[in-house]
Amino acid sequence: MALTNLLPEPHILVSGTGEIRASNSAAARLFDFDEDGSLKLGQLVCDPPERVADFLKLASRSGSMIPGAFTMRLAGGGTERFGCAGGVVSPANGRGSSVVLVRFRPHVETVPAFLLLNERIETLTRALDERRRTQIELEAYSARLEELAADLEGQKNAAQAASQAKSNFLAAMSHELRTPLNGILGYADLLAIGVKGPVNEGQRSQLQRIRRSTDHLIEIIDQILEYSRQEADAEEFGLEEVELVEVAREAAEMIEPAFIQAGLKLKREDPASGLTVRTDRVRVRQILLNLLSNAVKFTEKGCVRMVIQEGEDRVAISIVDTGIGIEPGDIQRVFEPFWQADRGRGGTGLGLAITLGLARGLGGDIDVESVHGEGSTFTFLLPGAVR
Amino acid sequence: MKRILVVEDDPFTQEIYRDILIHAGFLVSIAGCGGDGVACAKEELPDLILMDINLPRINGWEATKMLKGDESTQRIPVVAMSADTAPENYTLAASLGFETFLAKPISPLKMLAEIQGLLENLDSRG
Repeated sequence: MALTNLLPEPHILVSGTGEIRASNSAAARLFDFDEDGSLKLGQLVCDPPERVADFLKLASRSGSMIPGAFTMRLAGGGTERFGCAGGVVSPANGRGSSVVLVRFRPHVETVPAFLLLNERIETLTRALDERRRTQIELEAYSARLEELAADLEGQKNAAQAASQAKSNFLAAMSHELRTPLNGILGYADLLAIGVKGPVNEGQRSQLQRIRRSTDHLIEIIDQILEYSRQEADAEEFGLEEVELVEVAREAAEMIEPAFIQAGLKLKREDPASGLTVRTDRVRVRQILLNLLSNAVKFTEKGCVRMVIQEGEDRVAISIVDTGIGIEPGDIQRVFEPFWQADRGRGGTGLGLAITLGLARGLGGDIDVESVHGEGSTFTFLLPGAVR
Repeated sequence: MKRILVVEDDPFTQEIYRDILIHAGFLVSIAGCGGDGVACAKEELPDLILMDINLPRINGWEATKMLKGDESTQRIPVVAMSADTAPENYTLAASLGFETFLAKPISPLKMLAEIQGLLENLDSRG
């Protein structure tokens, strides 16, 4: 019983019928054992013998500890109520009849046991509350999420409606502005070619000024529309496999009249083999046209070159001119909407802003290098050659 | 002399196109709406049709579909003219079988050059 002597609580081993086989030192100290120690459990207990017998009967049949409570005779005289627990333990050598271990706790200690139980119950209740609260919070979050999703959907619809309204407005405005301009342009031409009778030189030159002003106004309307349209339907790109050399040729053909008028040459430098890129054909052509028309506008002598090169992960199409170039301080500003180096040259200052917007829409970019007085190079960088 | 049918509802534009085309030596017919345009095309079988798009009742797209769906008129070249220059209109014009799409406003001289070029091309093709 060496081990049980270390236990602070009284422990007694009894046979099924109640003979005390052993006890630990706490039990010997506390309870009124006789000198010879040959006692029955019942003799230590003030309660009726049947209660002791009942308890032992239950405890000797149970594998787990059976709770009980007895009033015990104390070594120093007097009695005290103890709580106890009893259960079968097998003898250490595995032979002989099994015995019952009864563990006593002073009755006061059963109160902490209840407190412990209460505490446990409280802990469980708290945990339950916590879970309930978490559940409620979760539900609140989920409701909020649904609200946000609905909000987002509403905002998306509103944005789409706004974008649609803008497109409709632009289309209508475009039509309303262009129709009267058609009249101005038309009648100025009719007068100039003398459909209703001859005009003199002075009148003819003034009619040409009407023409030029009208052309300028049309250009401004076109650019503002193009710029706004770009903002409205940024996503609508039609991707296909585009042969860049072919698109460059188309752009060159379309811009040819402007070059002839300016007395300039356009030289194309294409790669030996074709170069296919998955992109939007019309927009690529538009970008090249814009850059070429810019080049021709700012170049008085020399020539303009269009060079297509394949880089590691990008294709570069450079428009190299021998024009007036850009002042170093202005080079970052050329892509700003409405910025113009020289207002005397007409235009809106939207051309490069539009072009950059188009390029970025295609996942590309536009680089600019320039030496003031010597010329500029605008390079359209486009990702992803297919070949 | 070649005959050109102008389908156009704006009176100023009608006058401008008529004057410049007559000045250039064409015979000119004018229709003020899509329905009249189709009827006139069937009757006169012009050499070319200038088709405005934004027309009352039957618009230029619809009128041209009708012309392209009719055996007697399907071979007449049709040129779209519109102040609505949205990119999708160019695509639509191409898919409906228009020869070309001219954006308004357009100088009558430029328009004339386009038409003459187109007719020469068609003639050389036979």
